Amino acid sequence: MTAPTTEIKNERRIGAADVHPLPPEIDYSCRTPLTLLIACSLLWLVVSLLFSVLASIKMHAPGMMAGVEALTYGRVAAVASSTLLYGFLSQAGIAIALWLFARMGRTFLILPNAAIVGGILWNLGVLAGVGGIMAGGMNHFPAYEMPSWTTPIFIVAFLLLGLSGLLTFVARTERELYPSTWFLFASFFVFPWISAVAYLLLGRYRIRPVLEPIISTWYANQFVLLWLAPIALAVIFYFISKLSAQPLYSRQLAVFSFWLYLLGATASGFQNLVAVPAWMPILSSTVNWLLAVPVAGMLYNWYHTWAGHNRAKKQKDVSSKYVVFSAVAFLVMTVLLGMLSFRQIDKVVGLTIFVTGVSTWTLYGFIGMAFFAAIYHIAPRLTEIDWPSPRLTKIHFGLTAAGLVLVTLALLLGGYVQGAGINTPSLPFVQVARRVVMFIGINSLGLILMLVGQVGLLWNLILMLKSCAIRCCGAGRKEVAR
Amino acid sequence: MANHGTYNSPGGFKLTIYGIVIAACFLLMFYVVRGMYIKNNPGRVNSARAAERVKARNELREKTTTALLQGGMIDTNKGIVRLPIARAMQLTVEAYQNPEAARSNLVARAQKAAEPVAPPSFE
Amino acid sequence: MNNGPLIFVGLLFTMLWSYYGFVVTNFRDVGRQEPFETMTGDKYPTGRSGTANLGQEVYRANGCASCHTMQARTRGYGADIERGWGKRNTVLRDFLWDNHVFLGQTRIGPDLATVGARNYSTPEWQFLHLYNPRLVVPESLMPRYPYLFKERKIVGQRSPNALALPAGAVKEGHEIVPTAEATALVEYVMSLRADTAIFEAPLNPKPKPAPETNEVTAAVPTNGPAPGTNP
Repeated sequence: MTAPTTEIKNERRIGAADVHPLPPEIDYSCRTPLTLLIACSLLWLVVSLLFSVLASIKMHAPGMMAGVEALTYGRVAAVASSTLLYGFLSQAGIAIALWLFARMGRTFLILPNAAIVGGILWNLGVLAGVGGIMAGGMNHFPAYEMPSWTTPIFIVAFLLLGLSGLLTFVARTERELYPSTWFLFASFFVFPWISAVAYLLLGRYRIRPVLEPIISTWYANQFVLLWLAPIALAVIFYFISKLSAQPLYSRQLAVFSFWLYLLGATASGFQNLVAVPAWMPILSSTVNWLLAVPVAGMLYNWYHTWAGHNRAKKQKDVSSKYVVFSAVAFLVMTVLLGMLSFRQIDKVVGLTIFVTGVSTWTLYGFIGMAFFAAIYHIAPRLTEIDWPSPRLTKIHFGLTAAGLVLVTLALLLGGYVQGAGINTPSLPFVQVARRVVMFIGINSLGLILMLVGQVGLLWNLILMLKSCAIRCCGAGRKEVAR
Repeated sequence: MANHGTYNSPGGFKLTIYGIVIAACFLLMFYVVRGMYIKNNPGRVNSARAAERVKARNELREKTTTALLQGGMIDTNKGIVRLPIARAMQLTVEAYQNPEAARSNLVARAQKAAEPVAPPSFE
Repeated sequence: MNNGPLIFVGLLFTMLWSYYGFVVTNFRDVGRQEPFETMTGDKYPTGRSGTANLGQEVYRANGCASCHTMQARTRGYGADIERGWGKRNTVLRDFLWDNHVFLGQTRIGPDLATVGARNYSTPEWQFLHLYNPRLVVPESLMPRYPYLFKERKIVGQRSPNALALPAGAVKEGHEIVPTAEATALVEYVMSLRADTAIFEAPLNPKPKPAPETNEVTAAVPTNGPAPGTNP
């Protein structure tokens, strides 16, 4: 019989009957670092959406707050993007990865104090980056807008967090590796590498500036498809199997998909650049089509693992909707990337907000939703308290999904209108911009819906943490006093 | 970490070794990138011309500083020397304590100096 | 596939092939480009003035690249050339002397690769446009940048740099004068003229229409094109 967790943490388990620690014990070992990371990441998500809404509104009301230098459109957009990528997605991704390493390896989290220090450093880095952007030190690279001097903070923070995660992997008691672990391994390998490239070549060393667009596009692509996306894929692989209580349909297919996805994703990213040597857009376009193969493989695997099994449990679990949304979003993302790689389509929508729409869909719809699925599952297990408001969880999914679909459709359609307008030489450019304003308005509306949803999630988490704090610290002391 | 032995997972020593290896791999990535940069970076477009100009500037500075600040002989035969301005002013003040004596051979000295001389070394 | 070190080696090769292919080869390739020598013996590009180089920092600090691109596309791939956004497509060599390359990703505003060469583009227009875009383009979506300008009382004569604003835009007895940052930014923007034909980006001429018949045309002089026509 398993004793309650509060007793287990103070006792050493004796006897060889159990080879692995119990899940609640593992969750307990992860508690402080992961709660810190998840709470801070959701806070940054709300901040990011606030800035996104501000940026979107500024686009159709351009005179608004124009006198405030720190809030000029360019800087606001950069803050929104940076806090989303580094404040929410990366941080939540690391938290989820650490938890998955511990749970899948069936071992306690190693070096939790290093993870706490790393988490604090990471947040300080994001804060410094936001301050740097608003003070006028921003970079002009797509996924690397925070000033270059903040990157060493992230590198040191990741060294600590990465050590924690990878040593947890090394310390595993479960020798068989599940596909999720391979993907997490890939992420943790890619991030320091691309950070080193970005910091040294784009920040510290003086390289020929003509190389900047190439290196920054490479970095942006690797960041999304090889740092964030594999964590999301790891989440989907894990939850597809867990929630349907089925083993993965085909391990060989997963191996094949993993390596082919990696090979393909590393060469992607240049499909829309114009001024670079032509072999780069052509290579990326071709590879984007090839990516259909591993993506189809993964979807096939997931579908056969998921469909028809364990319907009751899946319906009860909050994470199911998010996992399914994320998996479908992954398919849609691949299709959109394929469309962008098709020259006839790129002629019209390349260099328009269509590309922004694809990127937004990827970051929120595919990666963000997968991370929400994981957070909804992990947070109650860390705090040992269930989500206080089931109504807020329902609202969160509805608002986020509705807002995201609205935003993406607005940007995709608006991009098409914009591109068609640009390709009509007789149309003055200002008229093209005016035609897009309506779509930007819908984009603002969608972002506001998403913002409200995320505030709901954050509020839910705050209530949960409050209950946890009362239980761990307040209630105990009150009883003693009596 | 004490619990890990019970759970059939590697102990503290092995983890420390792995930790060092992983940290070394992180740092190795930086060195790989740095190595590539050092080996392949061609420098700025006008770096050759910029280096030329820096060299020329340094040479010019050296010569003009010498000419301005360092004492030296210009023409031993005629006794023409190069003095720092402050020292020349000092000598003039000393000489003109006795104005008559100082002015006496002024014309002769000027004529002797006016004979064609080799140009100073810094021209 | 349960072996950690084996996966590590696989990942290493995957990342190395991408890193080598995209980063290292371009270091040796694009990274060694030199200015192109045109037929007249001039070098292109020739580098921008010092103030224009400072203007790049202002461009960067205000995130101008988030709405403007600097990559005009070839004739036939979109209508950039027909729209007057350049005489040829933009290539990386155009930015050889710059400190930063702002290719950009989205065209909320027009492409800026050749903005200095457009006929409406004068420094006065650019200053007014920067101060309040809606003064010169009534329906523009571009934000205002009043913090790049100073409002000050006119002492004696109006400053020669003062903006020629319409009546009522500024208080009586005051003038709007650009700061050093605005001056640098406008000088940078005016220096953007990526129009010279070079090897990898010749001027994109309209394709010649096919002749209507198979008749041999009248004899043309063999000593080159007629005087007064472009070669």
